Amino acid sequence: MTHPNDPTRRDLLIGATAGAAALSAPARISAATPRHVIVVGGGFGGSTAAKYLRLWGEPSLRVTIIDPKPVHISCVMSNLVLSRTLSLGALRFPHAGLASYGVTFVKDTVIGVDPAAMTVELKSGAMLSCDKLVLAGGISFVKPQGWNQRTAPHAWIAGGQTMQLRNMIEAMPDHGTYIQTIPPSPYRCPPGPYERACTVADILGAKPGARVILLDANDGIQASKATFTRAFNGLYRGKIEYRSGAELVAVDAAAGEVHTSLGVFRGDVLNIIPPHRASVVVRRSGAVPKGSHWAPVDPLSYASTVQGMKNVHIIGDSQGTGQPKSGHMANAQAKVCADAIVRLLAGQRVDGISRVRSVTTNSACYSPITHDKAAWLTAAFAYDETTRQMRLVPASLAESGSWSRESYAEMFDWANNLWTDTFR
Amino acid sequence: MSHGSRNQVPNRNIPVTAHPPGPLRMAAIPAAAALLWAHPAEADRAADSRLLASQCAQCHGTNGVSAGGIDSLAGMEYQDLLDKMHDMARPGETGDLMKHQAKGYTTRQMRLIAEYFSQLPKPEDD
Ligand SMILES: Cc1cc2nc3c(=O)[nH]c(=O)nc-3n(C[C@H](O)[C@H](O)[C@H](O)COP(=O)(O)OP(=O)(O)OC[C@H]3O[C@@H](n4cnc5c(N)ncnc54)[C@H](O)[C@@H]3O)c2cc1C
Repeated sequence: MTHPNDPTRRDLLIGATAGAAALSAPARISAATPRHVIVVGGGFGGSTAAKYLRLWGEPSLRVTIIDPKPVHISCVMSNLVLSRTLSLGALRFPHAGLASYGVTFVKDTVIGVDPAAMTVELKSGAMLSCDKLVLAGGISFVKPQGWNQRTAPHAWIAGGQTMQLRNMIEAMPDHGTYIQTIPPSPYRCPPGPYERACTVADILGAKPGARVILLDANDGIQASKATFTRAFNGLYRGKIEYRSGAELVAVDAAAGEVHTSLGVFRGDVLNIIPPHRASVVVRRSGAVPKGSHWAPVDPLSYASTVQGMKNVHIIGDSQGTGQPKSGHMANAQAKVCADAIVRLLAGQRVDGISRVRSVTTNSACYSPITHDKAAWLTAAFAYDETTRQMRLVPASLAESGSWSRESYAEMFDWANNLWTDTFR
Repeated sequence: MSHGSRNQVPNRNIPVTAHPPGPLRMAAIPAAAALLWAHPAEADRAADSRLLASQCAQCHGTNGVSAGGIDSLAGMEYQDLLDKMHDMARPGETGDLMKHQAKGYTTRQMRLIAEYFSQLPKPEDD
């Protein structure tokens, strides 16, 4: 079959037979050769980018997603797995879901990126080449001293970690203590850690005397402050102990100890969410400058601003524009990026005045506060022509301040639409 | 969760080698094809409105066709949609997520968004 979007067989063959050197040699695309975009990572950012590139690009545009897992497990709504409201199965989104748009999926891990040759190296040994590269690898962690994710799970990348944490919560004794750490901002999902503390406190309601100690490395609640302050001081008074300015120093799971700048805390279950930085694949690509944790990009296209990397685009949690790191936002950025790539491949500009004034992103988020009530948070961002950064539109930033059954129901409709727009 | 309208996403089943005719064209115009439009400014406008409108899809569904629960926007009357956005964006309007989200957009952006969705067909089950 000579389908333009068939697997990248040609590249695989080149990679297998001739090796890396041949690839950098100019087997360069003639005008007639279909253009190829490789998307690394099929999570919220990557899947959306691939889908919209196929929706908006030339019919001949080849789009390939590479991800080591055949199915993405959504972090969004994963706190509800802890309470058994949802099964992990409800959060599984096969990458094959985008095949109907003509997106090719390659199950592999990208271990190297050459931004000059525009090639990626896969763990299997193959090399793939492309015209534009989109990196959407999510996050990686800065390992605290003594920390092992098996004994003190983060459950901040959904999957086995989520189940591990759920099992530990369920096995926790009456009068037990659950300790959760919050990394310094920016981190994935600003309201997420506070939402988790509420979910866990609600679960622990069934265990007499059990409580949550929430150790925040930041100097205060980072999102939905009014809502969570109310929850911690009212509904969960005596159940959640919130401590700000608690910088994580070390973990000793065997002793049940969390060492912080505020002293040592002891617990029965340790949920350690360590400091974040850009994903390994983004850091290896050279897109993260020394001394920084995130990849600087131009928010008109999400192209790297690192010299020599203009054809490499970084979206989602790994990029460093300062917009909140959320699935909703990764989806939003992916569309700006896909639009930019389509225009750039057609030889058009992305910084014309009317486009610049059409670049927006937004985030909307529902947080379960109890087993049947949720709160919401929303914000819109617009491109600022003076600073050339995305700017929060102040009037759009709002939180519910309280929680309701109505919002709980809306949360499922919102998540279902977000998942569908991203993965199906 | 409802998957009722999954298969009605207008451009879900487009054959990958050709663009669909008729009203779906807006949703699928590649930027290069947009160059063929009568006037370049018109092509730009179509592409800009598509980009802006795509930012509604996280909640309202791809091309404004909701997977359930939240309203679909595809096929709404231009003026109706624009009025609704304007009303929600008024300073006194608070307490609902969309009333705040609406305050994030300029009048020009709202017009372009309304233009885009009003030119799409209404989903079948709406
Ligand atoms: C508990 C929790 C609750 C959350 N709730 C919400 C919410 O309610 N709303 C919201 O908007 N956001 C929420 N988030 C945040 C959201 O999940 C993330 O912001 C979002 O997933 C980021 O998208 P991404 O594309 O950057 O990364 P991801 O979605 O994590 O995708 C990264 C993908 O890259 C792949 N990958 C990594 N390395 C490689 C490699 N070398 N080669 C190939 N593939 C690779 C991974 O396998 C993965 O599939 C929540 C997060 C958590 C932890």
